Amino acid sequence: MTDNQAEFQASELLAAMGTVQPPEPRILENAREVLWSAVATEMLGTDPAADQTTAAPARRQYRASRRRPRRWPGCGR
Amino acid sequence: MEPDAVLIERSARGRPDAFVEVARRHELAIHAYLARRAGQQAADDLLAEVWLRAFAARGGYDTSTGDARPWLYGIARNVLHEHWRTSRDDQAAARGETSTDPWDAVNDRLDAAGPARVAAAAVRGLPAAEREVLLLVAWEQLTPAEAAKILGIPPGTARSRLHRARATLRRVLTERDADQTGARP
Repeated sequence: MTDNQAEFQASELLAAMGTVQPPEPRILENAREVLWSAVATEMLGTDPAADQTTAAPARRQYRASRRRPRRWPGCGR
Repeated sequence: MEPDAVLIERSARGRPDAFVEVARRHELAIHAYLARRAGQQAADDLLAEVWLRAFAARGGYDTSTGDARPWLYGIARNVLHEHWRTSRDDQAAARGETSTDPWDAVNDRLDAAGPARVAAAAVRGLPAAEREVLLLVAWEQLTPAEAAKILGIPPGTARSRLHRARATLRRVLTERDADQTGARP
C-alpha cells in the first residue's frame, strides 16, 4: 500500500467513524424553543443586570425540566 | 443569504430574535459534532445548552468572521467537556468507577473486524491534542486554521498536529496491509 492509498483509506475510514444519524426534528425544535425562551426573556425586557447572561432564566427552566432523580450508590443497580 | 456575523451582530443590537436563524442554520452540524463525540442521547440533551451559551456570549462574537461554525464548535466543545466531567462525577458517585468513554459510541458504529476498527484504535491512541485537530478537520470539514481557532492554538501548531496524526494513521494502515498481504519480513 502506498502512502497515497493509505491516506485515501484513512479518509474513508474517518468518514465512516464520524457517520451519525440526524436527530429527530422534535429534538432540534425543542432546542430552538429553549433558545426562543431566552430570546423572549430579553425582548420582554427582563433586567439583564440581574444576571450577566440574559439566557439564565431559560437555562434554569431548561435544567429544571431535565432534572432527573439522583442515583445513589447501591440503589437500583 | 446574510452571513452569520450580520445576524449575530443584529441580535446583539436590539434584535435578539435574529440569533434563532443562526441556530437553525447550524443545528444539524452542532448536533452531529456532539453526537460523534458523546453519542446521540447526550447530543439531544446538550444542544439547547449550546444555544443558550452562544446566545449569552454573542456580544463577544468576532464579526470579522462571517461563518459562525468555528465559534459554535468552540462553545459545543466547552459544553462537552463539562458534560464528561459531570458524567464521570455522577458515575463515580454511583458506582465507584471513573470515566465515560466517548469512543464506545464510535466503536458501536463500526464493524467488529476490519480496517475501520484498526483505524479507530489508532485514532483513539493518538495524543488528545492531535486527535482533536484531526477529527475537527475530518469530521467537521474545518480547515486547520479554523480548528486552531476553536482550540485556541496557532494555525501552524494545528497543521503540524494534523500532519503527525495523519502520518500515524497512514503508518498503522500500511502496517496492517503489510501484515495481511504477508509483505512484511
